[in-house]
Amino acid sequence: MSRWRLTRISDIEPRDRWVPIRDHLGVSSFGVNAWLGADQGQAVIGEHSEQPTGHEELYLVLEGHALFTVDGEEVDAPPGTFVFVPDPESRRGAVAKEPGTVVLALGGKPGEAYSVQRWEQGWEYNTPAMEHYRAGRYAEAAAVLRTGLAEHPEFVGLHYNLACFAALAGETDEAFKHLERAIDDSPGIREFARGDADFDPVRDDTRFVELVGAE
Amino acid sequence: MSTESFTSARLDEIPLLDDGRVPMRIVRHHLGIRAFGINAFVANEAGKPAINEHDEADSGEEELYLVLSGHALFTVDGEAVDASTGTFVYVEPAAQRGAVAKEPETVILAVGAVPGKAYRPSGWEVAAPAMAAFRAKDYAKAIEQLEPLVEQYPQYPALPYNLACAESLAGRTGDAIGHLRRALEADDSLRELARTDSDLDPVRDDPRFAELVGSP
Repeated sequence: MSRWRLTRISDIEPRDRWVPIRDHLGVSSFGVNAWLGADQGQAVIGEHSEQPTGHEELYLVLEGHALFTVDGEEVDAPPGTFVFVPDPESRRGAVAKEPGTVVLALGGKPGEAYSVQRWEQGWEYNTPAMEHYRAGRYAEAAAVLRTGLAEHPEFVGLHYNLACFAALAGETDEAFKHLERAIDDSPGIREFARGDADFDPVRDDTRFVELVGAE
Repeated sequence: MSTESFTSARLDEIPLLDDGRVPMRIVRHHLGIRAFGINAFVANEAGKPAINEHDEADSGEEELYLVLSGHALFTVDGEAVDASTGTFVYVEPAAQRGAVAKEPETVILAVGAVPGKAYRPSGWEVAAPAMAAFRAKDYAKAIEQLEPLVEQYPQYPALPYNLACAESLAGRTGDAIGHLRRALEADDSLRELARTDSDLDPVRDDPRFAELVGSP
């Protein structure tokens, strides 16, 4: 077997809005994926923190033009721009300023060996579920992940998203059940949940405060 | 631009270091990245080397190359790999690899780390310009260039290690032992390298060396 592999982003089947470069090439010592913003104004990097993973992240704009926002500060990023966010707690996201924007994202946790991130598991369910979610079809989004977990209970990364979709769909009991599973699996996600607007419908429920603590 | 939350830079704003081989923009050092290695190698003219011929068998690093501009011809384990802009080439640690520019302004991003191991920035890229004098056996010049860097960047073990090698070869045994000690304090895994590194042969019989490194 040859000891090298070659690819281009356009050769790899996208999952939802990202291209799994790491998985495709078999990279195992750092995270590397590409994020796509097909339309102007679309989110290329959805606003998030890396608090659950502890990763520092480096973004590089490969094509198009992106506008990053990191902890409320804007960074205009034409192709060839690196944006490095060392603190996992920082809220960051990017919007495409031009159609066809492509952002490479590289990450890892300083001082620790890289391991494949849970959120990459179950992408075949997350991809259609996210489409429903973005269209506001929360019950349908939840149904897709329910099926995913029934078929693959080992995809523990699906619990968190199912908790979000169930909360938005008004399935409060189900939301708490899966949020609890997600927290059992990775306690670090508690803080993430606290700031996640998807839980706004259940935020005042005493069970939410019990699970994630007060704001 | 840099704030408390992020550092951003255009590729062409990142310092270009020339060590007499393929010049590189030192992305990792410039941005303060700690979880993996990343630099951009620059070949201004067609026909010039764009990635130095090497393997990563000793370091164990897997490497991912991305052609950011221009066009490169890689050779991996003797096989020719044509790589236009936008091509990723992944290379396992033990494979021999190198690349030559087929077009002017060819820039290749190289990202690397060791699977299963925490990445530890050695600062080799900061030491690289001084290693040009080192390879030319001008150890006095290499020492002169490395000395201020050791003080400036105490976080990088490659700086005192390479300084110790230069001092060893220049016959400055006491200084070599001192800087080797500093390098091993910063990164214990360099002890293994020191055991077999021929640059340290001139100081190997010094009792302080055996005490520091152990016997081979």
